[in-house]
Amino acid sequence: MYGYGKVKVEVENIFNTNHDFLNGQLHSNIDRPSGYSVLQGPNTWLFREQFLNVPVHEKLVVIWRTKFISSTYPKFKDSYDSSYWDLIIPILKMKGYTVMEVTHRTPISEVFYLISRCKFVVAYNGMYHYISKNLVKPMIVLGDSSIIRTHNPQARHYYSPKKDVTERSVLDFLLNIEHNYHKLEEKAVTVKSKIYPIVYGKKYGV
Amino acid sequence: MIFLEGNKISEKYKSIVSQSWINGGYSLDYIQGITPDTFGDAVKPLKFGKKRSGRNAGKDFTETEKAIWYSHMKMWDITSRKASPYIIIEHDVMLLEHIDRIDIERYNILGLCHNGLLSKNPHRGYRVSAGGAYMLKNDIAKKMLDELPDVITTNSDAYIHNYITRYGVFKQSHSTQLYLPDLGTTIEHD
Repeated sequence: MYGYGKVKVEVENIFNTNHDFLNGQLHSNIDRPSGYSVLQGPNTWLFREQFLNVPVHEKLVVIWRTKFISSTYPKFKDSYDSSYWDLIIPILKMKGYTVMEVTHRTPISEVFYLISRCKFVVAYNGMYHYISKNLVKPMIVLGDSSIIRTHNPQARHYYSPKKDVTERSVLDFLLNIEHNYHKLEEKAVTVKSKIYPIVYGKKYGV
Repeated sequence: MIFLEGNKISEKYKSIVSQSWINGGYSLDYIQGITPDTFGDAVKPLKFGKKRSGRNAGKDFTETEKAIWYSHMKMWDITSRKASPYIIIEHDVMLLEHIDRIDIERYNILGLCHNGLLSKNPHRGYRVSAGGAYMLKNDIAKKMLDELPDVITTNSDAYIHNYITRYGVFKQSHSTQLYLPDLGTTIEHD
């Protein structure tokens, strides 16, 4: 991966480490001065460029939802309950897409393969959202927290049915995806245009 | 599928939802619905009284409500002469879940549709839509035609609902009625 800005990263493989990953040492030596575990500055990292440019399957959509989470998780991730997902998936299929659902049980190689090659992603804020972000995939993220903008700046955000224009806004967007897809694409391109020069040292599209 | 050839709204809904049924493994027969202009093509004429119950109790049936009655009657007539069961769907119903074969074998009539988030009135909550989609076999279809009342006082939905609850069950999660605000609807309720 590549980083930019204030954080210079050196990667060192450590075996049999004694780091306490669950108590703030996950980003050891690259934390912000205050010691908080999120990196200083924009958390903008990308995968190697070749992975951003693999051939896309035009009819492949990757999704993940909270349904298969076996542990507890913040409620904001569930602002769109199963009644929405029970419609989102059939709508996508009705629109001719192959819908691949990934869960915590899906091998990471499979997840990476699918996300890198899909047309777009529909997901709650969590699980594989940084893979999607680091690939700058067109994406729809659901979750009632402003943090979703930080995690997936390249995505279209839906916070909760009550905060949307109508309770079915996200469903209507998907029902008209053939006309709306360009909005997902444009947002991803905007982010790529901004980050490419910094991370890869060249303009996007050149 | 009941649809209205040449009607832009009906054609659009048909083009959107058909794929969901094709994905489910069904082949679709598109049957031209009866419209106010084609009441003469009805299986038999009906006498409509005032509506007996519901939000519009005491009012007359709209022309499109009558057309829906005649359209469903047309489907019952076709089904009554077929050995295989039919799933009768209106032009705006999308399939959400696979329908188990065992349910189709077990019942003579099966309610398969609901109105929910994607309906015209989502604030009314999740509710069954009897006429939206239902599986029907020939003996019940014949019964529905034979037992038509002399004077119609309920919408066709209520009539179909009655047969589903008497001779079958509702498994309404299988499909949903789709309403697109920009497109509107072909039916008017007074």
